[in-house]
Amino acid sequence: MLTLVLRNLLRRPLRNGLTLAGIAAASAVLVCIVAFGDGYRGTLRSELERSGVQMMLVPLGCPYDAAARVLQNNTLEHSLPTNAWEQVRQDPAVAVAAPMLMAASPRHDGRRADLWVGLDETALKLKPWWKMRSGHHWFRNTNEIILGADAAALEIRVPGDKFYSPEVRREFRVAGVLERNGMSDDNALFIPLATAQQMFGQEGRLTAISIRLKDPALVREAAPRLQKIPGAQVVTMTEMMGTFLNLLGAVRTLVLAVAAITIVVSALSVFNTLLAGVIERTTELAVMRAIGASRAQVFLLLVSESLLLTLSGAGLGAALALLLGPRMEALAKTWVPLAPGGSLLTISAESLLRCALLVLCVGALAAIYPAWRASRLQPAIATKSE
Amino acid sequence: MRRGTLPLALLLALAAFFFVRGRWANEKQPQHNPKDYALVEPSPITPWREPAHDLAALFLPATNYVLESRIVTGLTVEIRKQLGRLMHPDENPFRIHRVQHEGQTLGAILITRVKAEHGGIEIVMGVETNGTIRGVLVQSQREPPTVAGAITNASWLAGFAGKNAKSSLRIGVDLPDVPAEARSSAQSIANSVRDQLIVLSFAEMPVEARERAQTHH
Repeated sequence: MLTLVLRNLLRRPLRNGLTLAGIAAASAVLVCIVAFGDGYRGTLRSELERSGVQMMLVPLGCPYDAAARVLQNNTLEHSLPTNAWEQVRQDPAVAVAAPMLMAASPRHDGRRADLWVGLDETALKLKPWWKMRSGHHWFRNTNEIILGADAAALEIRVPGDKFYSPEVRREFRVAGVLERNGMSDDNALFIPLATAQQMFGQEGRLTAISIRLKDPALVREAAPRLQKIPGAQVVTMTEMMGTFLNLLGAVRTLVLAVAAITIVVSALSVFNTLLAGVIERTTELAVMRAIGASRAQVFLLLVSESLLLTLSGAGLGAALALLLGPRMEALAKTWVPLAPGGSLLTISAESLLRCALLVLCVGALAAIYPAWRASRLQPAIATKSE
Repeated sequence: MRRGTLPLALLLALAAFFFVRGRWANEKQPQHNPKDYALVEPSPITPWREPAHDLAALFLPATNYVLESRIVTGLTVEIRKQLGRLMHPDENPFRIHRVQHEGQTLGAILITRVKAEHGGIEIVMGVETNGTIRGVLVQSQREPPTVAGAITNASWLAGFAGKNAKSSLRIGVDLPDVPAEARSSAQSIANSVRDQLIVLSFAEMPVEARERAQTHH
């Protein structure tokens, strides 16, 4: 049976080859999307766990909005007093508390803004994804600046270059340029916390404090205590992660819809190929029936052809996904909200198997009508009409 | 040979040819000087931030503009010789904003970004159809007040008018002088203007001239 199926497929190499290519492309897209979803969730979780930030202290207001703004390096309308930092550090459950101040200075055209982030050195403990493309890892004096990858590319700056802000009338020396990490860090201008506070007239004020606890299990115990700090509220990372995953869910649904369309198109292609094959091979199939092949055998023959075609396509698609996946990942990182720094594409055996099964099911479904039509051929009528 | 095998074989051979050709072509690409490029990513394409304002300033009767992208890959070697440096990613394809007045082309607007003393400077250039400069504007910069005042000064920028790709653009000689602290940034602008005119002259070459230049090379 397998030899017969193979021979039938090889008889029309161009047509079957093109169908195979279509299935492979659809399968590759599906594998990448499934792997991307798995990878994003896993990487986000491990990144948050790796950073060890269990909660953030932000000024009163909408806590999710505030935490999302802080994580995306956007400014807040309100701020915390520096003594909030002292209180957080004195809490027995807190291991690391990293203060930050964010501010935006609109450019002269009024359409853009420089995004300034003032950091204390403790922030390095909570930013494990920070990698320097060049230069120093931290400021050596109060007039140094670290640029995100996009900011450096726009201003064509390398370490050692001068950087001037006409809006705040201050000159800096570029200490380092960050490696692109797909996060909002790419556009930010990082300066020492004290410099930022002085530059924006926010002495003694903070935008947020990132907190790592001595033990993650202490979240429930520490949160109510920190919540008592005047003018401040606590947002836990578990709550934040839920928000991000909801955000990703919407993107994923959209992309899955595109993948579904490609699968449907490839199913129609299989259907068309098989139906054309049945019409072309009417006499041959009728002869098969005349010399004793049962309807079930003819039906099975056509279904097997479809399954072999789709299985080959799924295999080829998996190879394509493995080959092109990293490039698609680079592309995806540019439009996914808060893309973590690690690999977003986790192509596991399980995801490959799931996609192959789906493609096989589609192949089997697409084969039903052509196979049924072939099995219903009446040998006498079919041969006579030929 | 079975029917259909030949077209498939031809298709595969063609795909293999382009794949191998692409690989070889990549291998032959000149390597960027690590000193210049390793530390920073290539600068992204410079947007034209205020088209209405710039059109009014450079081509007053203009009614509209059309963006053209010219691929100058075949002329890379010749252009590099003239520029005396590697081409930047935003110079190929070369973006030309054709300025029109009631369907008639008045000239072109070129937008570029140049590395200056304190940050990137974005320049808008108006070029006549004969390749001479009609005017130059600075659309974005982050220089200190003295430098900014000098390089955005209308009378200094007016010095570019009438210059072409072959003109010398030395500060204080061919262009009005600027204060000492602004000289470096001003020279960067002048060099960038010259470079844009050179690339434009190649991008505007008629097909026959392009082929001659490539054959010559």
